[in-house]
Amino acid sequence: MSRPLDRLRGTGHLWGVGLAAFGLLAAGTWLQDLLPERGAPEDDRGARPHVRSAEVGETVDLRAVEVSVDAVAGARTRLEFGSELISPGVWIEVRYTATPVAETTQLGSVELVAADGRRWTTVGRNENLCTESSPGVAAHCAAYLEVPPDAVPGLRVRLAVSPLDQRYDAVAEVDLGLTGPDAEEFGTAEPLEAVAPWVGDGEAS
Amino acid sequence: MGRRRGGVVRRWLLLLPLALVLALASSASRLHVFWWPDQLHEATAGSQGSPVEVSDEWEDQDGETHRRDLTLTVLAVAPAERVPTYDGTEPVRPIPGTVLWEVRLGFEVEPDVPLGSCRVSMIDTEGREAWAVRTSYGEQMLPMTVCEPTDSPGPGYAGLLEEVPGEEPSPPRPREYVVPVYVLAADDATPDRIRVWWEPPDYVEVEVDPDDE
Repeated sequence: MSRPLDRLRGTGHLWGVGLAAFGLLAAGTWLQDLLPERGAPEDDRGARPHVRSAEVGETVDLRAVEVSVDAVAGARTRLEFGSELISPGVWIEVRYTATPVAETTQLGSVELVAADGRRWTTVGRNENLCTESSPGVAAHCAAYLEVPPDAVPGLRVRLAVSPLDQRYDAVAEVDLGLTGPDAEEFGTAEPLEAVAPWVGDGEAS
Repeated sequence: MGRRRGGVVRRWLLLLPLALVLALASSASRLHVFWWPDQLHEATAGSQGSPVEVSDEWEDQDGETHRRDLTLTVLAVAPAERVPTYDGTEPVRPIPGTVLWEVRLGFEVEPDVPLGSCRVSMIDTEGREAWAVRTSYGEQMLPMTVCEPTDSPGPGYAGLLEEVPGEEPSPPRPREYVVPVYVLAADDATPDRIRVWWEPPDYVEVEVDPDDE
């Protein structure tokens, strides 16, 4: 009579292992459900880009490239190869330098972010004039994006290598140091002239 | 009873590494799906001045496999003195902080083998890789990287010579020819290897010495 009971006791550790395994699986599933990875890929908290904050003139290491914002300007109008583009808001010109580290690379993503979180990317008339460059050779680039004047104070620029996929990647977020009076000044400033990208230590050709 | 239980625990513990290996092996497919086939890892190695026998396979859009066989020689790597323009060549106007390298590639290949869309890069002694890309170099525009003569290119990937209506078809590609390729690099970069490839994962990697002409 006692034999079946003994057998059950003998397999006790197996039940224990099974229970522990199920317990761990359940805990894992529960944890995974807590993370918002069921939405868009960029909602995955673990995959968010590593944002590196900086100011104008500071060099930021983005692993594939080293980047620095050199100058910022603004105006109602910008000229590009003979055409005049007038903004209902203001054009912001961000001039920056990107130096690839280990492989030929081009900085492909420029976004402006307002203090209240509004964002502008290089779609429509907005442009990122940059070029591929080789490791150790600086590419001097310029981006032109139009924003409403009320977005100018506290405006930041986000620079990243890929416009498509920034998961796990390093992203530079540079405070452009702009204020309310700057926005007014941009309203009456001379038109901005597009600067074609160039490489090396020389001046623009 | 205690001894027996200890033995059982030990057996299960021994199974743990095996379970770990199995788990890693089963997730290794991700490596293949997301990364491995798109990376250069099937090298054909050589050295400057020595012909390298190259056999490269690719798959067309119908999934059919094709193969090209050719002989490639990296003849020279030297700072470029002249660059091609639309109507000839002109002297290179150097830019501070950079050196424009000219890589001379010698090909021996049948005229009916497609060679379009080749890629060339230069790896320096620090391991940095500069690609030969069409870009502006000051006021000069570097030419597109091609592995065949521009005035007598071989067939495209459809297997036919690309003819422009109303224009004389270009002469067939010679069996032997030399093409220059231009690589922009930092002025502290010393060329160490030249890579040439079409479809990953196959590539040719040739050790070079810029002083060796």
